[in-house]
Amino acid sequence: MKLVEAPTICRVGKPIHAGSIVVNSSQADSTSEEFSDPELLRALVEEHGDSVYRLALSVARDRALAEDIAQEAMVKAWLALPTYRGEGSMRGWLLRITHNTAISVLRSRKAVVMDPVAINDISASFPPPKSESVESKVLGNAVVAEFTKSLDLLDELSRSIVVLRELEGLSYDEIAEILDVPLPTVKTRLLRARRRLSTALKEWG
Amino acid sequence: MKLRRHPKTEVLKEWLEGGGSAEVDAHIATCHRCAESLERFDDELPLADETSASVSDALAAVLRPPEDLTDRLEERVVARLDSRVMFGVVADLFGAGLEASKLLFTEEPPNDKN
Repeated sequence: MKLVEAPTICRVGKPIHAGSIVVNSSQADSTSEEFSDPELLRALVEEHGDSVYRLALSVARDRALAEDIAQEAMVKAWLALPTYRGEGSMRGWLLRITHNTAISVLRSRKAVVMDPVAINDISASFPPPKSESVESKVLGNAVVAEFTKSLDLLDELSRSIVVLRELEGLSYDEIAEILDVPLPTVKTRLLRARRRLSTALKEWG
Repeated sequence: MKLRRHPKTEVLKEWLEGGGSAEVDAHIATCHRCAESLERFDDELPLADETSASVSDALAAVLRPPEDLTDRLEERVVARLDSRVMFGVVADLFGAGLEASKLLFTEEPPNDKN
């Protein structure tokens, strides 16, 4: 199996565009247990792992839980890959699985994680400003704190929408499909979320 | 309770800034016309798009995955898939054992001829 520049998934003679993951027809026809090409799995994780993790983190707000969700989503996707019909992008398909998994995991825990330690952990990854001055370090931390707080105050759906749009660059239609919400919900929540987050950044110049 | 009319301009602007009732929220979630109005207001009101890049940058930084995520995730997924296979083998063995014990300990069916 090779990663190719003009990527397709080929299933029973029918090529399907899907990122740079290539599944040969014999694999696509296999059952999930037989569907075990380590290179293909590596490619899937390499290409989509970050996106899956970011969406999981935006929903869960906890790094350890986000990794659990990402793992679970990848396992589900891997097992369902032989049945992937190639409708829409593979990333969209994976992100939909991720979002559903995240919601289901959180529901099973009966509460959205609100652990301040976890939130601090998220903030800790925000890069410090380039200048090493004390003022800019303090300012950088304050911006991080304010931004993280604003992100945290958004509802789960708005966080997912803003991440899918701003980080993954998905279209409104794709986001609506992934999250299974009406188009106006995507548009309007995004506008409001952007304004809130922008305000948090702007307050610190 | 559903709104009978589209919310007024002031109500929509208030919603955009984080206000608004649950009814307004529910209406806006499915109303294309109000979504268009909100897009227009967003352009008119300060903050429109000028900080969009910063929001993306800040989000990317705050939600940045760990550097070894790919390796770790792959390892964990492989381990999960392996454990599924192992579970299947154990279940099969258990099932076979159960069948064998049934054969060993089940009484002979009564002979109809006697």
